Amino acid sequence: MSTAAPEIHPDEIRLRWREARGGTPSTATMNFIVYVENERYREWVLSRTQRLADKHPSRVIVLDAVKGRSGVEITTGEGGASGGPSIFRERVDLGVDGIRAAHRVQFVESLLVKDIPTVLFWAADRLFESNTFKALLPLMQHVILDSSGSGKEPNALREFAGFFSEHRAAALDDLAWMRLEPWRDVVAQFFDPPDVQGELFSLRSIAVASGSESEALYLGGWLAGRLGWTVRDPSGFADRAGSPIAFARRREGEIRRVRSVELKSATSTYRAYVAGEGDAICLEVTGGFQRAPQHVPLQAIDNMSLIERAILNRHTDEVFLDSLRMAGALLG
Amino acid sequence: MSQTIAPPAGPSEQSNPLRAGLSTNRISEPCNVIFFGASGDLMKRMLMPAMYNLRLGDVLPMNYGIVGFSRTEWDDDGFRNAMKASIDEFSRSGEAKDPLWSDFAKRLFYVSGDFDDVKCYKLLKERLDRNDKELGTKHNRLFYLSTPPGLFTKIVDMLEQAGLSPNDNKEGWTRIIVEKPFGTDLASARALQAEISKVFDERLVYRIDHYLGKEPVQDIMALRFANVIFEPIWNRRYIESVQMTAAETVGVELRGGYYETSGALRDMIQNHVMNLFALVAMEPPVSPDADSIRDEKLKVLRAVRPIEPDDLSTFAARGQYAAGTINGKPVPGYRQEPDVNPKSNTETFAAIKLYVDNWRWAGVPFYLRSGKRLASKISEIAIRFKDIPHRLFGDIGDDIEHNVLVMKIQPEEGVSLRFSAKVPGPKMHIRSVSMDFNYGTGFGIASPPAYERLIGDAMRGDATLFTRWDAVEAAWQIVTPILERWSVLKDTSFPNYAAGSQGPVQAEAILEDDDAWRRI
Repeated sequence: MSTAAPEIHPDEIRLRWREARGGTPSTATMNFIVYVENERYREWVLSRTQRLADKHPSRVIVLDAVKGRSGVEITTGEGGASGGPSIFRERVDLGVDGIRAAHRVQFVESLLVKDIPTVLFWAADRLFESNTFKALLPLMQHVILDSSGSGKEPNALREFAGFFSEHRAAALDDLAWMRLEPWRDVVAQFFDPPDVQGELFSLRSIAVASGSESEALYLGGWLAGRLGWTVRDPSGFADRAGSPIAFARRREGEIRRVRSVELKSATSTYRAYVAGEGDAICLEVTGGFQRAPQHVPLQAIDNMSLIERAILNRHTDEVFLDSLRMAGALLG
Repeated sequence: MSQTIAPPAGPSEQSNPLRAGLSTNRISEPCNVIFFGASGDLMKRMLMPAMYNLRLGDVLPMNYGIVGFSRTEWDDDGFRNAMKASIDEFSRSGEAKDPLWSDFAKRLFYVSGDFDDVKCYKLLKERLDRNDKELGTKHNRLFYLSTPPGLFTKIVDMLEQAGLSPNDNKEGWTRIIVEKPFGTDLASARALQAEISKVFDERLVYRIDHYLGKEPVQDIMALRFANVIFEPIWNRRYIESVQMTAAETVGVELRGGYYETSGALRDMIQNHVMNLFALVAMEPPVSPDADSIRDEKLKVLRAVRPIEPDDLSTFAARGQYAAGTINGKPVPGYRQEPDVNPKSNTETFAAIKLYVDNWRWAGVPFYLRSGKRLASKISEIAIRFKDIPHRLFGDIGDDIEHNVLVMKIQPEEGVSLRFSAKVPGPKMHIRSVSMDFNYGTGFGIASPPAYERLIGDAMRGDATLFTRWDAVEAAWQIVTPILERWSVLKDTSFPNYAAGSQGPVQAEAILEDDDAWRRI
């Protein structure tokens, strides 16, 4: 059982930052807390953290829970993207393997800059079962995580849905949900013309092909939430009249990416699928409401930009929470 | 029974329950955008890449058409090929690729013709009518005048003769974007406005100043009106003077011919810098809508004290660059540039001092300057606050400097504040410190180029970042007396500053006693 406390007192870290700064005042837009516990993507997370902090000047506290990580690394000095303005870095990386959750959180709390937002990027598979996550949550205004592509999928999403049905204090963003915005937009486009909107209430099946589970579950949950469906079982919903709607999800393509979405009504089939070099979505309608295929751009937004968007998002999206709840219900 | 329907008009159908929470930027109204001067350089470098990037950004409506009009003898395919080449070369998103390019190209059309031949405009009308039927563009039309200014009135007249005026279009909207310069002085601007207003009501005219599409300009609004601490001191009681600088290191390059008829006062101060001035000096608007902001900008321009010709030397200064060095490299003087008269009297630097005769700003000088081939490329607004009213710290207090708030526009975007602080230790030493804030750069979604922002705004009908006629007229009223005087009085000291320097010493003459130009 882990009991140790960090070897360094936060006062010493603050002093070292202050001495390195000299007469340069500190500016920070947020406290950026990053938790990482998987060696496989540790380097990715740490490098992106720095790039984010170089764009949005931040006090960065990294809790490095990868097995065997201990000790403290304090970063100070000028940084920033090449050609851009210089940013003064205030960052501490704390190896927390073997350190109790309470000590981890005390350490974070004592280093926070007051009066600016505190954002947690939780780059770990575990959520609900993590004492650190639960202990950190009261300090956070905003929590960002990615339920997609992790080894424990779809457990992460189930856990996530369960946890946030109980805890609503912090704003919440899941990168897996955010990636779906272009897909939600194209599905919505099918039903923009007023004469097609009635079709939404005669849908009989949904099929989603994606490289990982979260995307399909979120899309199914989103449609269910918006259209007032209830979950019958993991493979279907019932609409408001009680009619069944089949829900099929198929693994296809890269993780974290959707390949296609198909909705069938009593009269027509609405199909959106990746086209070109992955930079376009083709929209097709066959049957009663047939229309010529049309291509729309598929924005390839990298994870770091998604995290940035999440940071700039100040409020939790209620549609997201509704979709998360329905996705959780699908998982049982 | 099978039916083929037109693609959806866009996300405006609020009754679609799937639209809830979707933050789409898409312009909802279908329309045609018609570019006059479609074979020109601006179209090639800026406008068509901007349109394509609006498409890639999923900002264009689902139903749109783009029609080029110019003298060059292309057919639709010739125009599409030329536009593909320009996108490939100049678009920030790189080469146009299928299938998105093919979809986009199908919506590009071209009409070849003389700008003064009404038959060609009737062909244009036929094309637009067909697009309305086949593409579902719903009779909405945005004309973009990217031709030389001498053709503006002719095109507007022809649009009316061909039945393309707003009055002829009862089923949709008709708007027009007019490129700068809007006139060359007060009289020519009024003459141009008189012709345009015969056909287009003011609310349909979008006078473009791409400088206003730049993000930092919008940051001024945020700094002033999203903070409570600045507005109470934003007045004559606390502010001593304001300096606005738009300095460039580049010369006139290949624009010598144009610049000879323009000069720094017309090219930069009358429009770009005057807009910054209005944003800094205006009263808080009651709402963020276009007319609320433009009303306040107009009020402040109208409150500017006219500059009397006899006072010109203490209110305006001009300069022209001689040969010098920029970044260690020798560069020629203005008179040695291509297409420039070797005895040119055109100013490449201008500085003016304005007083705003209203309750807020009475007695506060606003210094506006702009020039080419200066020591560095910098755009900023510096607010210099008054001295402290009482020297509490005796002799030490003599070192206390004025507070200065600097809004940095380019190359860095940010804010700095100079204030005084005690040096730690037993003695009372007070030093000025600068508190700087910049956002960093380096990844993520960049701000779209100004033309993308502005064309998108005009399609949406948002005129906030476009200049209204009354403000254009007020700005010309401020600078025209200076232009007239300068055209009569040749400056025998030209060239009077070296390339790479701080500008002409003559600019010092317009400063009030306690003021000094900030280093460029």
